[in-house]
Amino acid sequence: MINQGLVLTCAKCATKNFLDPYPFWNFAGNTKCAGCDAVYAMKFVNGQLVSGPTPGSGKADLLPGYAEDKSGAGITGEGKTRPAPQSRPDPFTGKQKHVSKSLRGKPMSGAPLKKEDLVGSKARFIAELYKG
Amino acid sequence: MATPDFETYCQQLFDYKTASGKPEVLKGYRVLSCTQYILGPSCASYLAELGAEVIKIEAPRRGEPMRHTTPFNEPLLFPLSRWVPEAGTGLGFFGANPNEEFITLDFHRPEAKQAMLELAAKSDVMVQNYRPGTFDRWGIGYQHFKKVNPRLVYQWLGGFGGWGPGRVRASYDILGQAMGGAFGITGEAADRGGTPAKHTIWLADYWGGMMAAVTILAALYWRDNVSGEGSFIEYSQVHGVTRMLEYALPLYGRYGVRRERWGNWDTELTVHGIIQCGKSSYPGSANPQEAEVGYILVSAHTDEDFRKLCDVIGRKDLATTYAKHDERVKAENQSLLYGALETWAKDKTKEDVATLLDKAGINNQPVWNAKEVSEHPHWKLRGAVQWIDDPYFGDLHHQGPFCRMSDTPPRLKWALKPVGADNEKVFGRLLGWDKARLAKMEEAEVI
Repeated sequence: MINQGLVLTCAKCATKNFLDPYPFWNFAGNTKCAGCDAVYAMKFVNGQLVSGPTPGSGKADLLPGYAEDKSGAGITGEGKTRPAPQSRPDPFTGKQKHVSKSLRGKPMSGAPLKKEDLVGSKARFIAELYKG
Repeated sequence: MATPDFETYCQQLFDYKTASGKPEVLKGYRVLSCTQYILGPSCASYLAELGAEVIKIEAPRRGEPMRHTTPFNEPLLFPLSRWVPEAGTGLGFFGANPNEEFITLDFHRPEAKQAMLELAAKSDVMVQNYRPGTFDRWGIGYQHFKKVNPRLVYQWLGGFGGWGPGRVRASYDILGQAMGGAFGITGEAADRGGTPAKHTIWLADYWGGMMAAVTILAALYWRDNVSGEGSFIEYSQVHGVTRMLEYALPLYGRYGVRRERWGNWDTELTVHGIIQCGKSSYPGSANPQEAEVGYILVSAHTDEDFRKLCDVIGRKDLATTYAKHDERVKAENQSLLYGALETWAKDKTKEDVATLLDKAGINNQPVWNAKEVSEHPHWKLRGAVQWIDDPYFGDLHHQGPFCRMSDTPPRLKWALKPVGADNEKVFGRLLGWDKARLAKMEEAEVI
């Protein structure tokens, strides 16, 4: 039987912790409930849960991407959930890959930015392209 | 003046490069879209392609879940939002969100509820696809909106409908297709494994979105021409799949016969199916995806075409033995005939087979991959696939609009925008929020 297991429902507080598939695709270690900080050991291989969740102790190696308490209210924030997914490894190579040009060699915004790289909600180099 | 031939006439009328100079058929209609994944977003996006002003409302900072659903890391489009520039939106978001304005609201907050009521008062359509009753619980359901805007057309898309014992489960395209009956008739035949097949495209979602858009237009017609009143529309994803089952249900009702899976062949027509060709179209390619053998659709079910096909493959004996379609279409004979075709095609590419069948006047079509679709001049000329200068993400390859209209053509303006990119524009213009109010709402994470 295949276990999916990408939603970890906390046995203590019933918080639903959403374990985003890419970071947890091949994962062995601890995560913790965003609601009550209970630690669980889990192991995923190719996106499938192969062991756990087993109540444990210690530090979390990876936090859930998002969580909801039993009333459906979202739980986020530092120390509770991981920041929005970024620079996730390519599942086939294990390496992070980003692009700045399309297949036909023209500029596209395909790499992480910093706040100072932005004009409003655009990458500065894209905004420059369309100036005027 | 002479009437141009039909091809010239169509090309002149429907050239997508001239669309921007023509009016938009739904311009002036405002649509609020509180949608996620594909089913709801595709509904709103069809209206946006037709020119409606569609305002997509997402959760602050993070946006809707489809932004975080992507096949690969590489093609993420950055920034996800001005607040999270180091993250991006995945390609799964493509195709169901073009031409829209993007704002943020946290529906759990009372300030957001008030903003929603004010937006609804100034809109024609609301589309949402949360679980049944969620928006009513939050005070932003149709019953609430109707009080502030009785002319609003409110489209809710759900899995199983808003009432009945099975309504509270979550639905996805794949569940809808399983429960609706589509997988029961899609996949391999019993003697070839019998496995149901999931379609890679989210057909139930995109079909459902289209059907909901059709219903919205019908409700707007009724409002604007008959009643003056809005209405509440429910679309069930599962029922939508069942609606597509064509004769499977009448067949069952009449004879008690369950229509079965029949793979890439056809239960009613022979030859009318897909065969394997033994050689790759890209010999020597280092790309393993291109090393695979090809496939081609062959359609030669009339007696005349079948005779021609037998000539082409050097099996005139089959034309004699199976001269009558009633014989060809029998299950055991289909296996024999498609087997003979694949034996013939074993040393050929799909293009080799197409060339030979074209020469004989037999209808066929190689099974194309994304590269072959993208590079074909027919689709490029018609704008079915386009490279667009997206104002937010640069050079993007994208599907063109879903239809052509001579005087009021749909068009592709941009593929998507970052989360909350239009907060200032929309809240300022529609609700009169000034800079200080926007900053306060942003700080409180209401937007």
